[in-house]
Amino acid sequence: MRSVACISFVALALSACSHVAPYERERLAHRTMVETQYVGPAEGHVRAVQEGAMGGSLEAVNGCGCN
Amino acid sequence: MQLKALAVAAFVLCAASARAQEDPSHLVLDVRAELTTYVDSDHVTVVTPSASIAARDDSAGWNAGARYLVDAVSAASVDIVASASRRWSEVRHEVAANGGLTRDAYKLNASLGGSFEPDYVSVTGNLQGGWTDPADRFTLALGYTLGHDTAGRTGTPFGVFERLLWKHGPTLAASIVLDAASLVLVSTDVAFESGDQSKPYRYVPMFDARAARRLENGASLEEVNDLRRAEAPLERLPMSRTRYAFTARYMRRDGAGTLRAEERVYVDTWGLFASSTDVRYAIGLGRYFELAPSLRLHAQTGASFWKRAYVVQANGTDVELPSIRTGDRELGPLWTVTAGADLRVDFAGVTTANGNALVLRAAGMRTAYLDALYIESRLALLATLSWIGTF
Repeated sequence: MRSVACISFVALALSACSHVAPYERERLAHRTMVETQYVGPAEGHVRAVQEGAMGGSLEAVNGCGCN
Repeated sequence: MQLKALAVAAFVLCAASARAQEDPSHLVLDVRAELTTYVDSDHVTVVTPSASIAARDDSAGWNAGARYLVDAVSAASVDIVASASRRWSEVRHEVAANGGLTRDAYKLNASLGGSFEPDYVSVTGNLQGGWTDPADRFTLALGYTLGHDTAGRTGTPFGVFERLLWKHGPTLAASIVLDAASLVLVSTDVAFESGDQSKPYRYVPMFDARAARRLENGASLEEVNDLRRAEAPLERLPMSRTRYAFTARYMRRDGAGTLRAEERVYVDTWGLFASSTDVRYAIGLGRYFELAPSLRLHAQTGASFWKRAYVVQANGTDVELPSIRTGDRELGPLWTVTAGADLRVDFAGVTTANGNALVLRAAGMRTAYLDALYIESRLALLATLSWIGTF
């Protein structure tokens, strides 16, 4: 049941895709559209230490003995 | 450690400049230097200089980068005062290197990083593969992260005292192009952690049941000291933890502005549930300036074993301590609001690919602890000045 739901979700998400020609991709290629994080590593580390949650950055995060 | 980081940076620079001599038109170098200062109302100050360099050649299909960061921490927080310790200072070094290859629709990226403190060493590696569909409508990425932490005590060799923690888990992500101005990114992370995460310096005050009931949220140091028992055992946390995070990010660029809205939902086997919502709007102001206000709200429940005041079971001279106990406020219920803004100045103009930029970011954070000893809230200010050069 769970796998059916996952496949349905992915299929639904992919159906939302649209083809954009290379000459129409100027806005998609803008710096503010491609950066993964808008905060630097120091603020990212503050969040990692002060929030009990993690994930979503698509980057490997080191542990520390900070808190 | 600094020499290693410099050697890595020099290697990347040499490789990049050699390539540039062969074909200067395809190589892009990004160099970044940053200084961040953090101060909060709990008497913690952190100064963080960092530098990074990244080189890429999209036509040849490769990229490489390296980063070095130092955290200089000075703290006299209420937890340090509560354990009758003096102001504490420490320096943390972090190094990271990454590289990747792109061949047709396939990408492969690898990264390796380490964080080094006198009493804590963490090494983490990540391998990620990606595939973009031929029409460039979506990208799928699958990654795996493996990390190992060693916690010790300052002044004691790791061989004499150490606590080990293994961390690993997959990440699955998809980036979907909705139209010529917007895209969505969704990702799922799972992290398996096994080992002892208890801090070897953290002592947890113990109370009788009647005294525990009298302690309200934010009870002062004096109130706690009046009511606590003599026992102050070290923190003890469960030996394993599995974390799950689901993140969705929507981005849209209209005219001179870019909207970024992100939601992360998190749950783990310690019973902690969290939601992090992040919204940012970057708008160009003329040819040289960009202003980007942002707002983030993080809210979480406490871990299932979280207690404001832990109670001992006393029977005559026999005392039974709670088997799992912690004083880590970040495992309790809390919320944090962060409001900030970036001002970016592009000296060569925002439409130019090469050039220099200065970015000043200022942010204020307010955290409310909903069920904790000593403090009910914390105010923090964070300022970052970055120089970014693209060549």
